[in-house]
Amino acid sequence: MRTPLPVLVGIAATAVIGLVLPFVLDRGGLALYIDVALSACVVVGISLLMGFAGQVSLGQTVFFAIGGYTAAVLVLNDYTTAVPVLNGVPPALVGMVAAPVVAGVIALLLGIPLLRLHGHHLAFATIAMHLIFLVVVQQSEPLGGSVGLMGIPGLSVGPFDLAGHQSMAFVSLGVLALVMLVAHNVVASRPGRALRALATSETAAESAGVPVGRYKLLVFALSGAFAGLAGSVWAYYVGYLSPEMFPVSMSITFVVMAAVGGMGSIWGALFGTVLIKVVVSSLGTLGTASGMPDYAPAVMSYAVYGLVLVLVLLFLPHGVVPEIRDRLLPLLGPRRARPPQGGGSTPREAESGATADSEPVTSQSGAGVQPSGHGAPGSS
Amino acid sequence: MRRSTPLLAGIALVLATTACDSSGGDDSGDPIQVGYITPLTGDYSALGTDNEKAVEYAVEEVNSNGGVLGRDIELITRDDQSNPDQAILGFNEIMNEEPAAIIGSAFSNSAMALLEQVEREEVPYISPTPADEQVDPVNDHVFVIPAIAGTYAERALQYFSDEDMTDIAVAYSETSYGLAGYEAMSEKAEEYGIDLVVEQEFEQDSTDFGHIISDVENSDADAMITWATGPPGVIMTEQYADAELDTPLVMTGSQASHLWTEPAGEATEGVTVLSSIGVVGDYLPAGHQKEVIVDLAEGYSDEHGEAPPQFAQDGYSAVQVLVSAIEEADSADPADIRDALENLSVTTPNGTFEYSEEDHAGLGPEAVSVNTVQDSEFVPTEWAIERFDEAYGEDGEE
Repeated sequence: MRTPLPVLVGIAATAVIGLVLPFVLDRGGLALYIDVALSACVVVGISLLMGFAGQVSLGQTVFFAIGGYTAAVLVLNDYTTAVPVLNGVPPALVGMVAAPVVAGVIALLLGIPLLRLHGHHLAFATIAMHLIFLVVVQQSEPLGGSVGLMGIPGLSVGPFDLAGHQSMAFVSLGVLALVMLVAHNVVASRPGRALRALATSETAAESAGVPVGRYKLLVFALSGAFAGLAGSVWAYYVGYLSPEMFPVSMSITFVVMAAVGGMGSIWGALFGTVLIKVVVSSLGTLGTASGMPDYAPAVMSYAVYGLVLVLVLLFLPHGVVPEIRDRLLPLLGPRRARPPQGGGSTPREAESGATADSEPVTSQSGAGVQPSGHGAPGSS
Repeated sequence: MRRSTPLLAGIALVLATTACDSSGGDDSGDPIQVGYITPLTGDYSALGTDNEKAVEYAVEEVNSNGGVLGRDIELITRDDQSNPDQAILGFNEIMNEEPAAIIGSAFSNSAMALLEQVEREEVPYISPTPADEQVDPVNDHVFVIPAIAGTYAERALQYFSDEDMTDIAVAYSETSYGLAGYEAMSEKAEEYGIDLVVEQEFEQDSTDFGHIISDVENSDADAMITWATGPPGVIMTEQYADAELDTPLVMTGSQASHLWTEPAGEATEGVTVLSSIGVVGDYLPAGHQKEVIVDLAEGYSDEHGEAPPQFAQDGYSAVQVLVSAIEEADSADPADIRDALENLSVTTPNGTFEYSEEDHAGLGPEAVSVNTVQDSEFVPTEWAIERFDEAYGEDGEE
């Protein structure tokens, strides 16, 4: 169960880089940093959902948007004066707490019917959920309709004005750290181990007494809450929300980030997000550089981006982080920790020789559209 | 010791001069940085690329004529990918370079997303998209280039009223443009003695307008006006033509380009279309306004092999407005440019802009022409020609 040293070093290095970057980045860099950190919150949720619970969702943007709208509506209408308990609590903070709660509860309610579906059907149902959400927002006067909600004030808590780019970067980093910590604890917990079994074979897990339906629902709600929390910070940062900001393509991009980084890996979610966002941003800058031909932006953002994706998925099919880990760890440590044999581990998990670090053995049974995870190479 | 006094004075003088130089450092020969955000990819790339061609054309024209305040203009371009999020990221990258001003996205939602940012950063923002929300209420730093839906609505009402069309059917899409157009019409209809007999809303992704068209058929409307952008504008036109109603169809500025006439084809024949005067510049009486339009049309066609579409005129006018403001301010400082914009009066292919503290749209109804489509070309109605003579004729103008 002990985390290997190189992994600890990696985590420490990432944390240090995350903390130092806001001091050295310029304006554009900070905006990208915030975008990356908040997107990563959503992607961590997707990675949990797909890699651990074996459920695909092409509608996570909905929860990101719900979080944003929740925070925005609360701040714009300032309900804190109406509710005596909340008197004196900064409205922005109320928004940031309410956003993940509302998004999580909505995910829970939507999940009850949706998660009865599997594979492709679930993927389609989540896309449908996304489209319905967009129509509802467009029709909803209090949410600004298709015109959008304008003038959402920047984040400030009491006397502290956090609306600046640098402070927003730290807020985003804090939110991401919180999300990753919660995700890590869920994965390391007893339900987490049951979830891993679930991803491998739902039938086996069920026959071993894992309450499959309830666990899947909880992960779905949790991923919704992560997205909702990130959405609230994004709403404070940009100060404007409209349905056009949450296209279906955004949900797909989130899944791509999870796939590139490595399904079922929390760190993979982070690195997948960084990679895709940085590539898209630099291709955009390159495409509009002076002296580039007229067609450069289109070529860069479609063709080159597509090519990068194809190459990554061809040569690193399990995602960047699991591939690197699987190649480096055997070189660094003589043997990997064995799973605890009794206790909370399910028969299926022991059988498939799941490693007990925080990464799962994902689908070999191939649950529909779920990309095949890595099969714990090297272990029996 | 006595000799040191002139020396000291000399040093002081030199220091003072250099101090002046560095404080006014942006008055040197360095180019003036102007940010430019435009949708080059995604759903609105057709708009964005037309717009970009014209902005670049205008900047080259300014630079080859010696620049502004003796300095070149340098564009910092970012693609917003037809996505407001990307517009915000691009905006922040541009702000790194401390631009004098920003020319904004032709995609209205990107523009709306930037409003808040622009106000926080206090940088002048010239917007080539006609969303009314940008100027109603006025945002200190946002100045709009195309005639807004409210201006088109007023022109349409003037036309209906003068032509004795008192019962009007209105259909509008649930976009910012559609809603603004409809609201402006219903607000001012009474003032012009007009009755809105059909009022129908439709979704931006609607593909069937049968129920709206039959409503019009069953009413005694004298004309049917549609506020739409993009695909629904085309589909409505086609279905309306198929229904062969006697009630004339009126479309607004969003349809005044080849992006509408080409896909809708035959169905556009005889349709009444409101447009910027720049679209029908050839029909204007000789005068300064016509010269400005013809100059752009000729120069742009030489370079791109086609007449400048509406979005290109907006892009060109945006640069022209900004350059005049910089000249007027005699400074490339954002705050000075903003103040100059508010007192600007400049004639562009879109019409003569007269911004003020209360009006950041700048154009009046006289900048809008009412045309009919004849052989896929926009030809001003007689009513419009009369209005041109009043506003731009030799007697009218001077």
